[in-house]
Amino acid sequence: MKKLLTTMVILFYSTFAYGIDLIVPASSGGTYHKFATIIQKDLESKGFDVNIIVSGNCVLGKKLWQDRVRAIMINSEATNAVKQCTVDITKQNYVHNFFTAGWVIVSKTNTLGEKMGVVSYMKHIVADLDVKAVPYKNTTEVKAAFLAGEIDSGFLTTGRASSIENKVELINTMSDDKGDFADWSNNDLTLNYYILAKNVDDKILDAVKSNSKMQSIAEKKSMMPVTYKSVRKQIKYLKRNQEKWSK
Amino acid sequence: MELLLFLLGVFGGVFAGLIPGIGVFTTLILLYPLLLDLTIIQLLILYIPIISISQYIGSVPALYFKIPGEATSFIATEYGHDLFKKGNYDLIPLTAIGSFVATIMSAGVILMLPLLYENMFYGVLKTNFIFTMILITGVCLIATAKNNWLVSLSLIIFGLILGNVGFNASTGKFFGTFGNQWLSYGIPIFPFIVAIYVIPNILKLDQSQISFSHIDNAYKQSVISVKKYWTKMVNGSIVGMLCGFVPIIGKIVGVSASRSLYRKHDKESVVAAESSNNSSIFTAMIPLFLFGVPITLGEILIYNVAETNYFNLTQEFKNILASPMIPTVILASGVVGLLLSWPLARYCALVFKLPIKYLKVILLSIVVASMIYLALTKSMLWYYCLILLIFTPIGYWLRNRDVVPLIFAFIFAKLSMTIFERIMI
Repeated sequence: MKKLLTTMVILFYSTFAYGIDLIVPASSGGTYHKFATIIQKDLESKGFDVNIIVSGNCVLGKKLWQDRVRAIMINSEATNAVKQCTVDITKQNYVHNFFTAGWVIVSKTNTLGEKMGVVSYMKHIVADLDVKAVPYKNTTEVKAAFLAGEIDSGFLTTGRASSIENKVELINTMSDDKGDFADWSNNDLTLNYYILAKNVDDKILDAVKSNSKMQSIAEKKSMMPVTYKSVRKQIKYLKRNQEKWSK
Repeated sequence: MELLLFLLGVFGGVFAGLIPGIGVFTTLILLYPLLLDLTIIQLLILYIPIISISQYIGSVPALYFKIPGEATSFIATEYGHDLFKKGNYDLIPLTAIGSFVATIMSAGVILMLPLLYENMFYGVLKTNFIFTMILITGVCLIATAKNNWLVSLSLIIFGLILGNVGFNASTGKFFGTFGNQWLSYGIPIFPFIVAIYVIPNILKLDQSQISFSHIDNAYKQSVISVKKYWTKMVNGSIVGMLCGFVPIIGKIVGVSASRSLYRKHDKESVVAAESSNNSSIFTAMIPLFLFGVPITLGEILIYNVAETNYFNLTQEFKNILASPMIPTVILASGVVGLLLSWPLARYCALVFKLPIKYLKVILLSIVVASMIYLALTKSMLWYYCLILLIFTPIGYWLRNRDVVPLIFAFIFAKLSMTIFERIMI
């Protein structure tokens, strides 16, 4: 009951209070929105006002980020690799890396087969593989197509692939053994979910970084973030990865 | 806690069905912070009454005021409202009973799922199946609309073009944006429907002499007339079950196909369509339970939230399926939905005590307020208002046409394009 009342108060309050804008450069109800809501709840429990803005897509997300004087934005290399969505990562705006997800190619036959399912914005990543890339909206759709037998192989996050039984894993981009794919240029691809901010108080950013729920998700899902002590190195790592995504 | 969540789900379902534009997905978004702390069972206990009761409740404003509370209510608004106005008040209990029949059938199918051969459901995830269902829906829309077929076809093409504007996340392509960042969002569905359909229909609304006794008598009569509509309810439910497997738009495919079964008899077609939408929402959950594949926007949201807390969510769903919990919640939601529709229908009659011009102002205010609220949550107020201003004259121009093909094609557009491109590979 207490939880319900607290939520109702948060909902009411979040409708009218305008504190920091937390921009979600994607559609409602997706992964970005989920992470943003976890951050919002945590910040509000610590007394900060946060207003989530779900832009619907990354093009508008970028626009909102540019228009706002004071904002936080959750981002990833995949989103940032889209030309119309690229927000430059700098020492001034980079805050924290929450998750690093690995990718795998899964198959039913130990070969790539004729058709491989990929998320639409990453079609180019498998361009140098000898396979027809079939685009899907997200990895959930790729998984469904794989189960239905519509595609012979699929490019999935390790988390999504782990839930499929009777699959063959041809490559894990985070493992050392690349097998037949040693020459593939994208076989060390990872996806990082990170935070950018501008004109936001350090106290708030410290609270964002220390979000215990996000840390427990990283542990539970084996998505521990790759982090460097030097911000310069961290940005270099993200930018290098982004280049692979936008190739 | 579970009981409270169920009650919150009931409240959410009423809210989603009654307030135009606030469908199941928006209701879930409003509850999002709460969802993050729930277990998968608790999520389902909340989710099932929301999707179920919104369908029962959505028919009431659709029949009374020709305002669609839910996307599936367009059949009731377009083909049921005029009948209701002419005294067919038993449409409200008949659609509620039809929904209940569909609920019982769906609960039975879900109860039997562990006994069925899992692989038989893989076919419904295939692009060919989805493509075929979309084609059938297109044909149904042309065949059942009250327009000349050429007009309906033109409206479908117009809807497909408008609905494809923006960034298509499934194909990764932009269409008709001309480099404009706002257009990358596409044409938002709510102001579009308000402009094309809701405003022209509110302006056409007539005074009604309906009273409590009309509704009470209609409920009593429906006990007798249900025999006549029994087969329509069952057939509508079966069609809905099959169409429920179509991702994202299964409910709409279901109501279109059900209506086409009885296209020459509006009353029967409305009863079948309203039964169909209740069965489709539950069969849409089958891929989620069997394979961990969500196929509706609400399911995607629920899945996304739940996977944060579970290592192997697919197995969790299978465990849940092995217990009678889901069919029980489905049946309980159905009973509550059926019981709620009566008092709601009665009290809606009170609204017609108001002079019609005041009623129109009130209804327009509610619709515009909902739109402004949604627009503000997305920081898109001016864009929503612009879309409303652009399409209201078009809606007024089309006021005497059956615009259901246009609206459904608009909703289908991006998925149709995606499926077509995939078939071509």
